[in-house]
Amino acid sequence: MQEQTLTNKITAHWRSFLVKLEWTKRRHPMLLVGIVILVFMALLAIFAPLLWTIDPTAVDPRNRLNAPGSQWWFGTDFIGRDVWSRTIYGTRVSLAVGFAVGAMSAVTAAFFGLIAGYFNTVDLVVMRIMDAIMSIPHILLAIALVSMVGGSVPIVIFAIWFVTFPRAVRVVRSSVLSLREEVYVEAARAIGAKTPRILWYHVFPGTIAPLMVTGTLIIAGAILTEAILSFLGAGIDPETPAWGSMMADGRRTISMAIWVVGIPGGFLTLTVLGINMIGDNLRDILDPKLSRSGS
Amino acid sequence: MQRYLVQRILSSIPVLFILAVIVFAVLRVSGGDPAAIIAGKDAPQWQIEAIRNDLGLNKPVYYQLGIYLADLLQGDLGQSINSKKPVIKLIKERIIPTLSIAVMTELLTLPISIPLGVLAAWKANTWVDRGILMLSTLGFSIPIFFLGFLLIKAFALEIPWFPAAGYVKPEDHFGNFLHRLILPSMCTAIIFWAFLVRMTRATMIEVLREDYIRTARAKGLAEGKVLIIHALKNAALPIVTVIGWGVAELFAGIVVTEQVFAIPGMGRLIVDSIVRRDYPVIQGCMLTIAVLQVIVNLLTDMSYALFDPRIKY
Repeated sequence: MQEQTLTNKITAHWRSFLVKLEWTKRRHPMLLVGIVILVFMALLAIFAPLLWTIDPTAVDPRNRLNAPGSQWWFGTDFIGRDVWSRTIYGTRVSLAVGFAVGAMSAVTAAFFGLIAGYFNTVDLVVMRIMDAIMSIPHILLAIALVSMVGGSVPIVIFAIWFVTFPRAVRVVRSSVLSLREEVYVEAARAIGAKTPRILWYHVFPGTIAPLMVTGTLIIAGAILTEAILSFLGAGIDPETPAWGSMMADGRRTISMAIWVVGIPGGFLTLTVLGINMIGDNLRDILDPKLSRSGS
Repeated sequence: MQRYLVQRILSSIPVLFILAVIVFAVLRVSGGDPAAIIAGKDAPQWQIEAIRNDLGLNKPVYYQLGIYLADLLQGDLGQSINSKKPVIKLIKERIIPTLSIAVMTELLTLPISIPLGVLAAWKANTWVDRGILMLSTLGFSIPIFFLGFLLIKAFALEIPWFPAAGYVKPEDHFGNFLHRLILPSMCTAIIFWAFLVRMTRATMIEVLREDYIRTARAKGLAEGKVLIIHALKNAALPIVTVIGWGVAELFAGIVVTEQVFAIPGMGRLIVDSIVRRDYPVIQGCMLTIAVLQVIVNLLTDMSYALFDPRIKY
């Protein structure tokens, strides 16, 4: 009897999942495409050692600049490293940086956005600092941070977080500004709820949708910024395979070996495209108002 | 108008001040000793000390900050640690290529993205609209330097229409100067293009729902006139705002483009200075960019009055 209901429950859940999937497929096909791309990249990153890769840092001077073929699927670079292995391992750095920056930005933006949006005095100070950070081109600030401290993955994550999170703070703050005037917030205040409680239970939930959308777009931006840093030689140390530094290595041989630049570039573009597709469609689903004003 | 101008300029001073402090703090606190770099690898300790003394680096940080801000107030950006040239002079030498790319980028972006945005809004939710949006998402997703490589490969190496890299001063040969700017500017334009298409589309869709558009159509006005004169003019404010906001973003793009196309502009100056820990130059460049941003913001706000006669300052 017990088992019977459990099976029923599972089938019911499965059915409702299929219905939702069908709805998404019809209304937002690009969301599914984005998710498929992202899941594919994540699988590549997780199972990198099992995917017929060799040591991505192994140098083989006898086999320089081999074209893609049966032995080297994606060819080799100017010192004979296997482009396939380096590309697959490069997925790890990009995704790790992207998601770490996304998560950190979401948490810090929620915190600063809530207090800045709710308390006028804090707002004045916090937002001026955010304005100042945002008026420096983010790539320059990130290069400065990384090159002063030295390039490791945590430093790169910190630097990119520092230059991107003000944008997310702005988004959260602007929704808090309108949420705090809502009748239910006023009601909570009137019955004597304490400020932290109001912020957490009544204001914060309203900021989740815009925060998710911004967070997704920040992940995409962070992956691009990491690649640019690696490309400029101001990213993580060049020993670790990363898409940006692979392309920097390949720039000198671009006239004879386009694959050294083209393959990591293609993977990078595809990953960022997938995440942007998810972000765009999330915005349409979660926040129809946002999509109409387009910001 | 005058009062407004003065107010705006005064209100940008605190932002620039905070910015100067942040840049200073990021550079000084995060370590890296310029004296050790100037002295070279095997320099003895006393020599490094002497250089530190010379540059004022052995004074307390708050003291250095005070001196820096005081000099700044007098319009003195200091002297490059590396080349001993005044920072202002270095920036003057390098700013022309950077500004040229910036202007060229705008020239390549505006005539394409605004009509496409209008078209997408006009054909909203059709395949034309979806196609344009998809293209713009792709524009957001492609890394500038990758696009740069593809452009070089296609239009400099395979079909030799443009030189692969380099820069010619406008006073030396104006035609070559323009010719060499086209590929780098196309490269920087892509993000801007993607962004502006979306913004134009979104505001146009909103404007096209307004009553006065229905009236204009009802009285039999040609669709082109409705779109351009009635709709686009009213959508102009947000679009202009976006163009103005993009300056910091544009500079970020130019830093990368200058690297890809080997153009001796401010972006390369900054990257080189960061590598050499040339603090005064980095500080000077960042402040210059911030001041440019402030000026552009001001111009943006001024231009509102041009598009909307109701706005008066």
